[in-house]
Amino acid sequence: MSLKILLVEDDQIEILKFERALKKLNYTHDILNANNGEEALIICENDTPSLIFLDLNMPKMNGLEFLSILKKDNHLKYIPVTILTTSNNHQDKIDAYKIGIAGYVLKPLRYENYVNNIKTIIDYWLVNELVKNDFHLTEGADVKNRK
Amino acid sequence: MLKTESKIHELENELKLAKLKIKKTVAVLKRRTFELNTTNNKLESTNKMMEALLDDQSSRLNIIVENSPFGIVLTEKGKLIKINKALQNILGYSQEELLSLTIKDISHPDDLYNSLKLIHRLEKGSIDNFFIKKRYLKKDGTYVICKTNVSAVRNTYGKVKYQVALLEDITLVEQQSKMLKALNLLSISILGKNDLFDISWEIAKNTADHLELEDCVIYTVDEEKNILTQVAAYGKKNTKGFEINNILTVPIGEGIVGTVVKTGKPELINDTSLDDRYIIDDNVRLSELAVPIIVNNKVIGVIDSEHSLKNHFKQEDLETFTNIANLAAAQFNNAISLANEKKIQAEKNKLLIKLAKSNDELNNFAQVVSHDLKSPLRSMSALISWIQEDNEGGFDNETNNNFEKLLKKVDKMDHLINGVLKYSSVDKVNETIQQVDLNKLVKDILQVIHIPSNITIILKSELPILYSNKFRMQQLFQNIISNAIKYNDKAVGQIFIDVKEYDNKYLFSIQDNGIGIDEKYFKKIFKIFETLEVSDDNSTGIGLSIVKKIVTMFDGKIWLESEVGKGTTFFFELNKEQKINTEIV
Repeated sequence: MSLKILLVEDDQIEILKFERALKKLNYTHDILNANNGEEALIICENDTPSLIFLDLNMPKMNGLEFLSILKKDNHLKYIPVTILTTSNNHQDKIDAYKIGIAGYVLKPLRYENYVNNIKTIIDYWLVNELVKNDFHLTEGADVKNRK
Repeated sequence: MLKTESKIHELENELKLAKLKIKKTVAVLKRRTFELNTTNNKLESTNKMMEALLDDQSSRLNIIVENSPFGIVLTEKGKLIKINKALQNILGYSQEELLSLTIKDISHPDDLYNSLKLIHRLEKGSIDNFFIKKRYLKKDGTYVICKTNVSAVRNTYGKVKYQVALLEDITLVEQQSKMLKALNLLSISILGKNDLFDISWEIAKNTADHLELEDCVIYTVDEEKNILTQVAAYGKKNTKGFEINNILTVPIGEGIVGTVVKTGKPELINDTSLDDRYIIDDNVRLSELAVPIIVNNKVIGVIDSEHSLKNHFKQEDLETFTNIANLAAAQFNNAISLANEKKIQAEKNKLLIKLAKSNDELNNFAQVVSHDLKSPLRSMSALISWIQEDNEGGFDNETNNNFEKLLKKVDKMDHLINGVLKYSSVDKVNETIQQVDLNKLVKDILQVIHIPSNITIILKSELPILYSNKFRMQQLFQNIISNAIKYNDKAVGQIFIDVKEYDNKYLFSIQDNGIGIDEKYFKKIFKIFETLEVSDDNSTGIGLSIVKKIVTMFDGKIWLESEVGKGTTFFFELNKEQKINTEIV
């Protein structure tokens, strides 16, 4: 099964790292890329992803701002969002969980560890009924149609 | 013949009878006269006695009247007909002078109406006596205030014949109570006022009002400029509220007020036209009274009053002014110290805000730096891995080794950044104080950290429950225990954790049989980035500085005993009820 994964990340090496990790894992999921929250919102409106990896520190619209807008949208709020950041800041964690996230993962230093983490997360969502049945997509679409 | 003879005989008898009667009558007369004389004599002596008695009584009454401390006056239809010595003294007139005067002549015109009203009622017969407090004119033109008691003396028809008045001079008492009242009102009006300007106005206004002064001016000393400035002026000088027209400044040492500042002594001037120091303010006035306001042996101001007439101010006024000046001094002193306190507080607040700002900036800086440093480090690490991956088998051993070393250096740098973050509390947790069961906390730590099989950790006594911050306590114990494990070189490593209870604090000790620390490093180890051995990837030199910071944060103490090769014991004291010293956070 193929997932549509949105990576919201401004660092080009990080984007490269993510693509390379998926390639190394022989995953063929679709990767959408946004350099900041603004771009991510536009992508979400046009092409709803099944999973989002979100960096916190970004120019223009940062991760938490993007997350707040996303969670207020009846259609998009069902998309699982995993924070992928270097920020070990306690307040960031609390804020993110308050707004609503599916996970908070620190970017490990070592590339091998990074690949492992990404694998674990994607594998988890692959076995997850919520994603498999595109539950959030149909529900979200219904809500959107009803408006 | 016979007839004649018998007639003679008859006549003779009749004569005899008459003689006898006369004799009898004379005897009665004699007796009566005697009786009359006796009665007369008696009457005379009684009369004399009566006279003597009357004389005695009136002189006694006179003694009482003349020696009475109260003024006593007898009036008939408003005219003074009898005035005792005391009243002559009170009014300053002689008996003769007073006899030509009426009650009206010696009454204050303002009090006359009230007293005439009462006299009218007395004459009508609706009252027999009355009491009044009124002012009487003295010969010298001044007034005395007297408590006066007036009684009517009526004739047989009930008409008022005389009036008797008893007068008590209460001028001094009245003045004193007026002064006291003025002082009292003044102290109430300036109570709680902390502004020099407000206090000055209250003093000027109250002093002028209650002491019936033409004006009252408060000056303050400007030490820098060496002048006196009017801050409040009540009376003719101010016409519109709390504002002085043409504020007068006087150089210290000049004029009468300037002299008062220089000498610190009050001045009572009876005739300013004879005093060449006198400086004209808005008008020439002939009397002046100026009293210094002294705080901590320094003249800080002057209370001043002028009067248009000569010889207006008396010694009592000077005393009153001195009292007011003392009151003012106390209040000014409060105001000044409060102003200073406020100034210091304001400076403190400014400093605190500045400190908080720079603290914030530092935190932000640490945050930015940590992110900005961590990200490229991750990129470097990834890039190195990719080069290795993409060239597997393509590099010689030395190149491969160098890449490994490079990766290790990157790891070390990441450790350092994390350490700095922990120390600077960027990863700040909620600093709430709650019950922390240290027993459970330490057991949890021992579950989490890696303990090599050769090391045993022994809890020598039950650890207490503290009111503290759980996260900080965990950081504290974990760092010391980790150190004890890490620097243990013995085949059988032993670590003892113990606590002793004191009145309001606990003394904890964590003892190991590890490598020990040379005494010369005891201070150094608590400083950030200091490690004692050759640096490896795991020791950043931050752990103990965090420990020290936490203990200090809770107003505790930490120290150690150690012997190289034998082991180290860390001691730290913590208060039972902890408060976070936020300035250190």
